[in-house]
Amino acid sequence: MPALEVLQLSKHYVDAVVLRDVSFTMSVGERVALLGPSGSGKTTLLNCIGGVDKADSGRVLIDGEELTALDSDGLARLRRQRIGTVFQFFHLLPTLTAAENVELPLQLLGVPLAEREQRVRELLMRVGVQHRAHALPSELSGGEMQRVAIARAVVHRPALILADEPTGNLDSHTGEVVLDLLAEVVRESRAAMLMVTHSEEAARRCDRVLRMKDGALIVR
Amino acid sequence: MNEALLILRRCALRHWRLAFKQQAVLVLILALGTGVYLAMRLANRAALAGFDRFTEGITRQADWTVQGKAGSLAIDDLRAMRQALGARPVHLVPLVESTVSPAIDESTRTIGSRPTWRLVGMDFIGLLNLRNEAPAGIDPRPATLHGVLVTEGFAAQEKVKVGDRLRVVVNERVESLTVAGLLPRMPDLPAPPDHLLVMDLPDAQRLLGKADRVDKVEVLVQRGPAFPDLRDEAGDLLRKAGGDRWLVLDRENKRALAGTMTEAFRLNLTILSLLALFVGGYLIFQALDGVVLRRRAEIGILKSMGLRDRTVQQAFLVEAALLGLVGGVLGVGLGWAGAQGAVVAVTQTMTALYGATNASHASLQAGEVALSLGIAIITSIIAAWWPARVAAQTPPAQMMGRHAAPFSGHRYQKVEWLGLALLIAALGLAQGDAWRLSDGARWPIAGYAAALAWLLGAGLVAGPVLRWLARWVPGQGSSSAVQRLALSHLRQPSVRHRFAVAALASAVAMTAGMAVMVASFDHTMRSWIERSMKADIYVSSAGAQSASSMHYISAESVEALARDADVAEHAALFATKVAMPGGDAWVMGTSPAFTQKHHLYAWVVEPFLDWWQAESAALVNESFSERFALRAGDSIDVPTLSGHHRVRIAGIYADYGNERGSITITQERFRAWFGISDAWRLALMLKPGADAETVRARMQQAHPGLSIFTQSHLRSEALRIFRQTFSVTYALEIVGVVVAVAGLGLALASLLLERREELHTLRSLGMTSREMAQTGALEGLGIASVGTAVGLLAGLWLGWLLIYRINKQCFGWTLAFHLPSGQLLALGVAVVSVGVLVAAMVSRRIVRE
Repeated sequence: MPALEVLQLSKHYVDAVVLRDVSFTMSVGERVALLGPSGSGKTTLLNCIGGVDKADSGRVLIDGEELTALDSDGLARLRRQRIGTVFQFFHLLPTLTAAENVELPLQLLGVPLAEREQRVRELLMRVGVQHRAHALPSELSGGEMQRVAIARAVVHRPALILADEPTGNLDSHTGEVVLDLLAEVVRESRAAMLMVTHSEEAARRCDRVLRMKDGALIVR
Repeated sequence: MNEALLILRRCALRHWRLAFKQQAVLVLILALGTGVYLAMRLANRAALAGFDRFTEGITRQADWTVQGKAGSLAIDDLRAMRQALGARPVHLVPLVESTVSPAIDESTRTIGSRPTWRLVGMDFIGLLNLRNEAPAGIDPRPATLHGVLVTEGFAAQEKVKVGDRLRVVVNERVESLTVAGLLPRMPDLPAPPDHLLVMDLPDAQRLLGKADRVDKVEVLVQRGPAFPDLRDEAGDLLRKAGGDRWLVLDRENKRALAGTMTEAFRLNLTILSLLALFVGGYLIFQALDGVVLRRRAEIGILKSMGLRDRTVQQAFLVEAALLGLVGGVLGVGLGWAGAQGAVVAVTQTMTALYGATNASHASLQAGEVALSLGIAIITSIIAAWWPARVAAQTPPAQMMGRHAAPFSGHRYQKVEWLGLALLIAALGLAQGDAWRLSDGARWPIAGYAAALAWLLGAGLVAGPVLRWLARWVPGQGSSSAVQRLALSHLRQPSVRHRFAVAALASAVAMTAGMAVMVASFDHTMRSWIERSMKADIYVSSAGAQSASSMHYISAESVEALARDADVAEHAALFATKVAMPGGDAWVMGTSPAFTQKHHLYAWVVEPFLDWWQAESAALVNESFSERFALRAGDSIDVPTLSGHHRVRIAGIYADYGNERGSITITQERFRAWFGISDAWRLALMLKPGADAETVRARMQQAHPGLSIFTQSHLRSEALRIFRQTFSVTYALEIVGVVVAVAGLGLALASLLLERREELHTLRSLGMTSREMAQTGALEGLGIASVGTAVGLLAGLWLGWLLIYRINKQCFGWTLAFHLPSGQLLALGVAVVSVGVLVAAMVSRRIVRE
């Protein structure tokens, strides 16, 4: 069963079409880069797949479960169980420490405390910020924040990871380190990853590249 | 400033149009705050004005008023004044005055509910001399005995015309007055008050039993180039001639004297007005904070286009000023309308407590309008200052981006220390004495400063308490994601959390403080009434509608009532007003045997000698001791008809029926010093088995000019009058709490708006809308609980301050501290419950947006 199936997804605003019959699939463990100029519909596509935006028509299936048929509570359940997200601006919750940020998806799933603590500890060590576990986001560097964000995205072992320009807010050296780390962690977690990026370099580290223009996929 | 106005016109005002409802609510909040403040001031002013505006509509505003120090003035005094002034063009207008009430059947037994009219006796021939012509409508020689001139308003209100008769009670007699004519409205003079009855002086003297005596003399100096000097000279001459016999007062002195009568009442209104303004300002702050948050992107764009920080700040402050102006104008209208309703209640209370005033409507004063508008605008600008500063100082990138500013709680440590410093300062300020003005009036400025410092301090320390408590909530590790998130926000409270909890703590503290004061007042009053009102029947003149009016019961009536077959014991109380340096006070003549036998006095300082035996000893009440800064053992000079008598204060007693101060001497000494043998009040003890109500009804039938009350009726009336004074308090307490809770809702809305990106992240992590709303509601619960807890604790000390410092310094009464635990518990539960409810509703709405 594919990790992600997108079938004829379309969306338009008042006078502009932002997604035109977008269709593609991703298999388990596959890493796909989504490239395209600004305004081509990359982020809208990502939001529709993540269930935080609604398409006008078409279907999205994650791990075989059709996302477009779910109500808001169903979407929330799907997100907390099967999707992990990495943002360009990290979006760590500012009042939670690094460890608490990583622990949050497990808490939402009701994972017992002992198991949560163990998994958080292991992941923070894996991404190399175990020494900053109790620091607030405001006390972390950009690279450290993105490492924590990666840990948070994979801690609950999702089937699909959505990454929206994960290195867009980092310097090139840190960006490369983060990309390597992301690739390794995703591989280890056996999740599929759809990464929106402007960077050809970043795209080259993925298994496949999708290109978008004016709301349509031009290279599959 | 031009740029700021451009932004205002192009952006802010367009937002007003687009978000019309939101702006309308803001304007209404301002209008409500301003309206409450103005209504209270106008109503109070209208009721107070009744005290000193009886004759201005007939003569003009007097340049000086001469009053006897030991009560009334003799005709010889009038001659001495004329002699002192020589041939100077100065008119002396002698007056007698009294309150009279219509004779109504005894079924109307609610004190203060009957109309009270002011009867003024003026020399009509003197008026003729003053104007060089008989004023239209004033016949200098009214042929009718007991003929009175009334205003058109009075005639319309009482439905009387010329020739009709008015039955009134004077002292204990029912007299018939004839409406002899209507008082004309003088074009260049203010309208006389509607409750004024004017009578020719000799006739009024006969009616009131004041033959050859006048109550005061109004002095009118001829206008002209020499007026200022002549006025001052006349004042000096009269003062010099007066010596110990009379006082010479100008208009300001008179107003101040009227003002001192209602200090307690005004204290209550002042506190409540401040509460209304405080909560109004807080709501504006929260609302404008929300406006800034909603317009973040727009501000960011403008700044990225080169708009300076200062201009952004100016634009918001100008917008706030405009909001204040619009709200203020609307508030003036609301305040004026509210004052018309409030003036009736205020007048009734003042009449019952202090004497006749008969304002039926409150007129709009230009000064009051300007003050209200100014307050609305300034409150709005102060409230907008912080949001405007945030708008100006936040970098454009942060405003245009969707991510929130990082936590910066450590910046507020200084503020927390400031809060502690303010609390300590409040403790110090509370020890300060009242500021005594030259006329004897006291202003508890240190007490007010202590209250303000305490409220601010309590608000500022509530933030750290919130953080501290959130850290110590048990089971954080095993708590749900919702709990953990909510607690994490409370552990690191943002400035908005701090404002919300501070405002709630301050509002609850003010409400709790007032509740403690009112409960203590009520409790003390009840104890005092039980102690001092032990007689079975109380008698006063039916003309006396207030606790301070001067109507007497003749010695014959006292004798007749005392001889009643059911009366076992009687005691008459004698009273007159005297002028002390710094204002009027009362001298009472009492029966020491009666007061001792029945333990009527609640001692503040027990007498150190048998005061009734010592020729030069007296008792004073607590108000007198506080007002004139005198203690037991000190001596005072009492002005009497035969000159000053020096007496030593032997003891001080509590007296909650008189805030102006009284000196008590034996009735024998009183009669000798003041020549008054008529009683002011009479107390009767009945024989065992006698039914008080039956005896009262019988006595009332025999003496229709007297008000005769049983003990239980008088006690309940006394309590009713005091509770009426505080009735407005309860309504405003509720308003204060409701507004504070509404402020909590607005604060939470701002917090969630600021955290929109965080909500987006939580949504991406799989949190449901319900869970996110629950997080907001839990935060609301934390803020409401801590704000309420800190507020209740702070309110206890504020109550102590109001009772033992401000109240004591204002009108000299010691109240026993009484904790209304049930009321405070209900307040706490109500605030927390409503707070959580509001927080849940706001969170749900914002999360769904």
